[in-house]
Amino acid sequence: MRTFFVMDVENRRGVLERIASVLRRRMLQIETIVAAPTQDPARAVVTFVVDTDDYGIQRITTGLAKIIEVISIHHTLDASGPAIESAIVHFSDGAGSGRASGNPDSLLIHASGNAQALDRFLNLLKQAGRVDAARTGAEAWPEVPGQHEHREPEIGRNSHGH
Amino acid sequence: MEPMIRNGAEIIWECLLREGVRTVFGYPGGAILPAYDALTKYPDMHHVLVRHEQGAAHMADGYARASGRVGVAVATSGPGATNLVTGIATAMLDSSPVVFITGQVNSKLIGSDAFQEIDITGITLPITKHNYLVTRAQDVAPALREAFQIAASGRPGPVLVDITKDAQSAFCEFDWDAAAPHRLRGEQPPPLATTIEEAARLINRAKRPLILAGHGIILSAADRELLALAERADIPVAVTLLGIGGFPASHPLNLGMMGMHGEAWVNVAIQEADLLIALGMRFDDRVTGSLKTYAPTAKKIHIEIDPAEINKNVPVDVALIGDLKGVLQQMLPQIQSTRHADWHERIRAHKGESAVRDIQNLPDDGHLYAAHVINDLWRATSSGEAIVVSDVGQHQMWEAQYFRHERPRSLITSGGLGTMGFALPAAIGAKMACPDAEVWAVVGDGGFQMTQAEMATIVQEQLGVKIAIINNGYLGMVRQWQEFFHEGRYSATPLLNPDFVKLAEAHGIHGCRVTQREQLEQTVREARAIDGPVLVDFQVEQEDAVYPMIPAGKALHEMIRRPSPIAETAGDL
Repeated sequence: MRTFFVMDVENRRGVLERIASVLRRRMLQIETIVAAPTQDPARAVVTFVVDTDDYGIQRITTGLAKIIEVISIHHTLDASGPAIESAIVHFSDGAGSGRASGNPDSLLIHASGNAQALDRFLNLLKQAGRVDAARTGAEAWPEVPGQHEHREPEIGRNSHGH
Repeated sequence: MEPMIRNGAEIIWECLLREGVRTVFGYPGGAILPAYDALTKYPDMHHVLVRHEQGAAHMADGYARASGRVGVAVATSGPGATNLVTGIATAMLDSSPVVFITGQVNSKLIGSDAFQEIDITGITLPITKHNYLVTRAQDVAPALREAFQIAASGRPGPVLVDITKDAQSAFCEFDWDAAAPHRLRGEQPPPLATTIEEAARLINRAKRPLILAGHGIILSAADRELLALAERADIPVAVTLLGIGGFPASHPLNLGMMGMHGEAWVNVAIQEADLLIALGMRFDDRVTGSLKTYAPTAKKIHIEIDPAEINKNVPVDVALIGDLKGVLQQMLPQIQSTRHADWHERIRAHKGESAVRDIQNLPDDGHLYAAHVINDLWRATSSGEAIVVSDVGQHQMWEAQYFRHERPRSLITSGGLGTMGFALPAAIGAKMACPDAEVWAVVGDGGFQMTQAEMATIVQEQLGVKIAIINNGYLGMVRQWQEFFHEGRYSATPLLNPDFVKLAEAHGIHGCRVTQREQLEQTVREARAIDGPVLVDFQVEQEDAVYPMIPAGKALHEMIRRPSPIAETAGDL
């Protein structure tokens, strides 16, 4: 199960390595991980996504709780929940057809929304043509999951030649 | 008051003294030189110079296990630090409170692959409770104060503090009070009163209850509470390897050790119990055997300080997370006075059958068995307060089976990591912690050779540590597995040993040898009478096996038992 973990931690050197070490010990692949300081410079928020089961969630949570700098840990399976993610998407429709018709070779799109919505959006683009996407990873605040309303992706456009 | 100005190296010793440390175990080197230079200003601090940093790690660990205080080991950077790694992991797996202080290259050189530079904080991330890289003198005191707190609190464990050379040399104001630890996270809440009531209800209703007492009993100093619980509710007690001594061996309710090489009747009792009360133990695989068939008829209560251990291996019905002593004190008033005569009789019936196969009851065939050595050692020392420090292997299991420990901290051994070479240095640490105690290092010929250089430390420190080598000319436990599971193919297990007696004498240690059973009692008596270190080379039966044995992956009741007295033993084949 794709599981989103959101942690409130002390903003100190080495915290991210400790978190990664706990996950590594459990042979987990980190799908995405984002760390950023909060308004309080002493604190930071770390959000990561792993594929695990109920037992794994328990093991991850109790393992992370041993890290001295960890203040709180939440998790959710809800991909439509509070975690927001961005992606830079490079979309091209094939060899040269755009040039001949006067349309751009490629579009650069900046999109953000909850992970579920972003997944849907990127899948739609893939059906329409070649898509290279760089996702930032889910980021959220360590509040009770489910408090955030569902958000559709916001699309910005930055295309070559315009 | 005038501010106290000290350099980082002096602050190390200032902090250690204020933490109550009077003995450290270490080995100097370039990156820790400022600390060693500063040490000359602190005559109250006794430094034990080891012969290998692994020895320092095990000594600090043995010191901690014998005393209940935080042990301290010091090493330089690079190879000095990496030589500590096995000892750090040993302490981690057995929840032993040790602070390791390592020197590190100048902070400007970090990341440049400088001489003797190693990322020891990265290496020890998974084997420490926490670690620090200190690059400024003003951070030394806060790191060390917090290190001691972390090492000793909750579930104890090792903490490493890596201090750069420039941090040691730089000066700053030293303010002990200002360096007190503070964290943003709150404490673990205590168990709910309703959960304690539920546990008490289960205990009061059980017909075939069994207590599983682990290392937590000793770490929490909860032996009296355990005794009160067992006696009030008339519940038999099985112990883990590290729980030995937490409940007196002579007590009628003590069943003995459980698990892979535990007493047969204990494992059968676990499989037949209707309630297991797990106290400060973690359902380690050596104890449970196959989890699929573990204790199928029992409800389970788990009292444990570390939440990560709850439901990790064995799902339980009631979990109480907290310090064992405190939780038991809360629960005891709700425990009814009960008797379980039928249950005890049932266990006795199983025991009766096993006693026949006890090696002590086998006809004397003139061979010297390790069990004889261990049992005689026990009988010789049982009137006093001997501490046995056991290494790892067959002798370790025989020690657990045949030496009857009455007190906590009277058996020290590497359980979780199973580190060969642990015993000799750990015995040094134990003797430093308890100078008036009689300390025996019981070691195999294989493990002894891993850290035998520390005999020089024994002599330099003038310690009266007694060394019993259970010498069978093999890496015995591995040989046993090869005998049982690899059709007797002894791959890389026969040992060609040096003359241990001459080796001891070369160090200035009195050495002697026992090859016959009739020499045993007198040799032990003479060894004990010598005021100073002694090494006894007990040359025992070479191909004996530890029984019973639960093969890996098998259920607790699927034991390989010692053949009956009528049949030939493995040693005679």
